[in-house]
Amino acid sequence: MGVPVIFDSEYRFCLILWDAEPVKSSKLAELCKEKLGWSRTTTYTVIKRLSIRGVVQNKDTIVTSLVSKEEAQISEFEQMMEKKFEGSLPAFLAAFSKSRKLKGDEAEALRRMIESAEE
Amino acid sequence: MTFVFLNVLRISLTAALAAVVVIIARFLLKGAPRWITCLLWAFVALRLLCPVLPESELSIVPDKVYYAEDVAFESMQADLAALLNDAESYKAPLPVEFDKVAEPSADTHARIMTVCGYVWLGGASLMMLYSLISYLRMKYRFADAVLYKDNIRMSEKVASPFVMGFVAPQIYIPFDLDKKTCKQVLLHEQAHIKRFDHISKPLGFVLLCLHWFNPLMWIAYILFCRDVEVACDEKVIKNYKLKQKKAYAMALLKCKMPSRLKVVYPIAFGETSVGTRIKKTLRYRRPAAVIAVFAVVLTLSLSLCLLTDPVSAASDNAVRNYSSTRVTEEYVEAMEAVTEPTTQEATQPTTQLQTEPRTQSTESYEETYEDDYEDDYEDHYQDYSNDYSDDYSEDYSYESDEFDPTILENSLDDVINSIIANNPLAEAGYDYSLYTYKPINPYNTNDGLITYNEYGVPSVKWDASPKMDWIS
Repeated sequence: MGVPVIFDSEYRFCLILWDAEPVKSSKLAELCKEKLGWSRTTTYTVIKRLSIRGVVQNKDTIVTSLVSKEEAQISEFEQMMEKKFEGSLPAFLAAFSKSRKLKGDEAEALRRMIESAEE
Repeated sequence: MTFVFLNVLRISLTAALAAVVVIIARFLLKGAPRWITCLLWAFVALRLLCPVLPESELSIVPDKVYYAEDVAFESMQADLAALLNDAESYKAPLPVEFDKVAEPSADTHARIMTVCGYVWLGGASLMMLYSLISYLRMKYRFADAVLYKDNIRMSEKVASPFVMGFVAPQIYIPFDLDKKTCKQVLLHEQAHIKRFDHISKPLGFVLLCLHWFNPLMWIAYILFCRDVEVACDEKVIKNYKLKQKKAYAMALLKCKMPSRLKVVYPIAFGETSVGTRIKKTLRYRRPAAVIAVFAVVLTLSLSLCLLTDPVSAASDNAVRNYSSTRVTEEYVEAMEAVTEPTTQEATQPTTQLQTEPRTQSTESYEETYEDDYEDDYEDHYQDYSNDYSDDYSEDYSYESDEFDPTILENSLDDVINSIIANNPLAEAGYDYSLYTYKPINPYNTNDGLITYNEYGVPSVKWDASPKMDWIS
């Protein structure tokens, strides 16, 4: 699929965008000023950078994202698996269980997901 | 330019002296709170900033450095020429052997200084330009750091946390910091802000740019930066128990590839190594009251020594007045009083350089200068030339108690001789600069040749002609 890379500060920007899209770039600049502390020029620069990379698109000042939140998260996960866990899911799950404990309803949702993910 | 540069040299020299003293004091104050050492560096900075400081006998600056005759050398020369121009009567220079070899003139000295001045200016502006560009690049680079809280920003480009900005300083930290480390880091950076280090370090760097030629200043700046970091650490650790100290040390280790306030200098200049700072952290103990008292006493005495200029003899010494180029009223009066020409054989120069007696101009003042002024001038021009008696040597006497003009006689001699020494043509008694100044009638006064300006200050009518005049 080749989801383009999104850096951390840009990711925060994308979070705002995913909540607000489709949105005029001026309104987006306001939101970014409020939540990220970015000046207008910075916001426009970032929009331009991301649109070159293919993460967002800016048509007639309306900004929409080309990569959805789920796609981005999956891509991040795959990268992390490769880099940090050498592709081993059990290693990931071991780390997961060591760092957090599941709540009741979360456990339920997980069980259903595992069943659906089973080939 | 020469004047400015010479003063910069003077300031630099005295500040270097102060820096040496501070380096010694710093060594003595190793056990004391580090912010005191930073205060001492502030004294050095104050010396660099203020060209003049209150005078005191306690000053460690040696007189010679501070009141070097070289300061304002050029302007002194020019002023003296003007001064002699204004004197109504003067002693003709003693006849000196004409073939005396002229020593390397003050001219060369002044020229060297001018060149050095421009080199200094070039170096300083280059440095400042470089740091300005670096600052702007940094600002642009971290423009997309996202706001975390208050004045804290996160960016993936941050390698080690730092503070940037003067009026509203922002702390920049990387994204992936765990909570504990983050907390210590933030405390450290906030301590920097509270101590105004984000202003004092760049200010120090600007001063360094101005004094880039002085190696002691570089040393002072490096030591100052180290002391700032340690003082900051101390501020954070002040009331920490051992456990918290460990946490702080861990934070230092983790991401404090030294937290620079992003001032532009290469890291090769040696930050205090992280190891040293960790050791200091873990071993830190509140200093004893004795040490604090000692430190305060030392600081106060050093402030008296470093922040004062040596006492100048200016108030007492007439010669000093002379070379400081201020024409005091007493001086003008005294010059008027020296009317009695000391009898000298006004010998002609013994070489081919014959000078002809000047024919007296028959033009009146108005005729000579009628083209120079518009007609309006004549309306308010007043001819004082006949207001004073021709021979007023009776009006003044050498017996005046208020001011003994004989002192000035000697001084004038010295001055004139020094000018002569620098300029062989001056030995003929006429040439003091580019122009041949030939007084029309040096001893008999007032054939309309002495004119008085509106304040009653006499001036000899000089006939200034180009140097080649002697040929004719």
